[in-house]
Amino acid sequence: MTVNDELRGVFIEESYELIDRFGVLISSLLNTPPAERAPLLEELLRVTHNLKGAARTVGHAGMETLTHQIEEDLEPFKDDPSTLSDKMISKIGKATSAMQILVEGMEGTPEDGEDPESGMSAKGEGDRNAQGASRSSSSIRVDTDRFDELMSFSGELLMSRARMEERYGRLKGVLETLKQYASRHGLNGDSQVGEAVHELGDLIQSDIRDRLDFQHLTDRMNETMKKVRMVPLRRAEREWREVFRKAAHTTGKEVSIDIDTGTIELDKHVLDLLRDPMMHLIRNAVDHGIETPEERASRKKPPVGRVEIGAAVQGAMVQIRVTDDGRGVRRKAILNSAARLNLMPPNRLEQLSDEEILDLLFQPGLSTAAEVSHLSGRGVGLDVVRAQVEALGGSVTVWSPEDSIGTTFLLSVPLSVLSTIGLYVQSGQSTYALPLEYVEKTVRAKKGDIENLDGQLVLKQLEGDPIRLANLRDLLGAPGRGGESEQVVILSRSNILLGVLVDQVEGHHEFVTQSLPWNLARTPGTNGASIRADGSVVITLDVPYLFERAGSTAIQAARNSMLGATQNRKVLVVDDSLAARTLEKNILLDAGYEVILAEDGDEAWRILERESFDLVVTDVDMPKLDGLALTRRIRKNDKLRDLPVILVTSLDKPEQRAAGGDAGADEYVVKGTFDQMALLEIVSKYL
Amino acid sequence: MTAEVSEARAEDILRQRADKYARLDEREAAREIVDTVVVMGVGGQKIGVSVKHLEVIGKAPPIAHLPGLPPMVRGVLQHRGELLAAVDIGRWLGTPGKPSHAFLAIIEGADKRKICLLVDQVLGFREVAEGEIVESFFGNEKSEGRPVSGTTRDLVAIVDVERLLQSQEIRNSQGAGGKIQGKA
Repeated sequence: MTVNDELRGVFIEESYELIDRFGVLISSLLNTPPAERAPLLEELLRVTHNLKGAARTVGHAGMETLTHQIEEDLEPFKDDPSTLSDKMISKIGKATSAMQILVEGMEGTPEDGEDPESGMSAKGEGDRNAQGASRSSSSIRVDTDRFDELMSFSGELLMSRARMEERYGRLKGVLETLKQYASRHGLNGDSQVGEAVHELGDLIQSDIRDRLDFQHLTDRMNETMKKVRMVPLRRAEREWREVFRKAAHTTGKEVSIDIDTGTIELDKHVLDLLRDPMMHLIRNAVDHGIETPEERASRKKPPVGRVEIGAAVQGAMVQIRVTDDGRGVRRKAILNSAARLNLMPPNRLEQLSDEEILDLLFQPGLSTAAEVSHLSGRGVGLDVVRAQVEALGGSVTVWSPEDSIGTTFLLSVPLSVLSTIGLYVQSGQSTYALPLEYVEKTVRAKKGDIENLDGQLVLKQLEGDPIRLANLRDLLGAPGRGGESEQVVILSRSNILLGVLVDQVEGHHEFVTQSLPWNLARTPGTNGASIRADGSVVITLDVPYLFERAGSTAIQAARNSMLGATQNRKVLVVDDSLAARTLEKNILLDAGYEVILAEDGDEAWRILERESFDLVVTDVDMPKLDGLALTRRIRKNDKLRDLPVILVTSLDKPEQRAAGGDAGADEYVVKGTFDQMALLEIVSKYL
Repeated sequence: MTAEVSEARAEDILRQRADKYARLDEREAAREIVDTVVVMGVGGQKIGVSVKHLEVIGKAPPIAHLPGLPPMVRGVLQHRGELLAAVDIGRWLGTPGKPSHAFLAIIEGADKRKICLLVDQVLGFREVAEGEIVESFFGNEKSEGRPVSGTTRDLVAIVDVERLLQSQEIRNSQGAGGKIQGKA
């Protein structure tokens, strides 16, 4: 296939998608009241513009002329889409079929140096049909839903294979037991049992070939499915350039862009989901990275700013780099912003490494920009970028030298989403998979390598800084205490390292992740599970969660020391939901408080009558005696009237909040809107 | 004083007794069997689960632990390729003994949602006659948080499967990882 052949293929595929979208937008415009048409018209113009750009790239003059004309027709309505008549929309809509014919005409055109456009215009309807027939023999367009269904079947086949392997192993075990039994009892081949054992052996043996065939076919199917989903990364380039151009135009900055994605191909699903994070990073680079011409002149930089996008494949991941030669990131501004947002105690902020400081940019709400423009804000939305990239099983890091030279964002996303490669580790009775992209290395810690620093386990290294260490069992809140493990898996997220102590490292495995059961599907810290050949379950861990857990443990330790000892502070937790009760108990216990539980207000009152407490955390809606009645009773009691009461509830209407205040509660916290740090924050105000 | 009984009279007495016992059986039989439960032991207590909800009983495979689960959900296990939440029903009922959790019972609700109950022993099957289940012997067995419909006189706590599956604790088993989940 020549480059032109390939380019034409990309153009045809992309054009079909854009034309489909064009048609959908026309219908939507006709079904939308004129006053609400603005976003649809904007998208229609963008789709038309993209089609024109694609046509120009392959030299398709007919398509370019047609789309240019549509742009011209639509342009006058851009400022006031309500004046766009249905008649006009219908007229433009008629172009859909014309565009389709133009693209169909391009399919099957031989790469013989003939001008594709002239070749096409010379052919009649019959020729087009003939070309359509030839296209159907080489490619078909498949609805993505159907394809995803196929992909899901492929995944299920792999899982089914694993289960068959497990049963095969068990069957062999049964045969072996039977053989031993027959041998012990002298049941030779002539006896009925001996014959049955022999036949079972033959059946298992003859099954081997079918199993191997099945393995081979499922492997090939898996590989083929992966390949079918692959699309060139450069397909995204045009949109990136467009976003860049608009950002440059809006900010009025002089800036150039250089994109080089080579010949990398990745899963279309991954490419689709990369769209928003990439758009954000490009806008961010132009808006906040690149300085104004005056600033650049004062720093003796070239007047034209530069943004570079590059990509490289690293194992099963593709790394995309967005670099600008702008002002860089000032650490002090990050720390000030973090302190303003009260992200962590000041003494903890002072201890952060350079990587950890830069990583704060991904915290929600953090911004170092003096003013946040409508285009983007450094920090504003970077948390969303990270969430989107991590949802793909990827990561995003930022690096910026201290001396105004620029900023680089590095996105790492999997090439394919069909299967994952992970490091299997054992902790307690369970096996967990750590996605390989986060695994830096595994080490066996020698005696004396692990030390304690301010209540935090630390792994000393021969070279480099010490690494924060945590036992996986503790991070996951698994039963039992972390043992005397020496196996450490060093995980890396945003250039920050975390050592995780595990009982055993089992090596790398490729696996297909299944969803967790219906009632555990949103379990934090996990990304699903896979089933091994022996039938055991391996939980895929969410590595960012481990970092957060390890971080919050460290932050909590710092916070505790800042607030003073929490020991001997006794809290009564009242909730009729066992889950909520347990959760609140765990949060408070972890922070060092003594916790007593009650199932409802009635039980709480009985406990309060015989024991003294420093604080009550209570639900509102409970049987027997609700939280409001309990609070009122506490306030009326001479001995208890000053006892702080925090209402924790799902009732969040203003009148319900007011009722909490009227009852005499000190705080009203809505479940689902606060995290554990917030609860501790509120509790610490009263203790 | 004793009187000699003729053979005919003795035969008559025995026939009358036989008739009486037969009528007793008929009365017993008249009590309608409303359900059959599998009786299982957990933490020194007996529980019964209606066979209507029972999909499978068998040896429990290893359980994989998940972070942040409430204490009565022990983790996840797989049965015939399906992943299920493993529920420590004994802990929920407050049984005192240390459970072995050697067996499992997979139960399914009307909405086809399944969970797996961890138990120590499978004791057998038992028919439950109409009116045999007592809601409460001591006034507190059927508290809000206890997923049992009642107890038989031989102390089999009958698990209310639908209530169990609809409970907040089972439906929102996840949730202790960071954010506090809203209540239904």
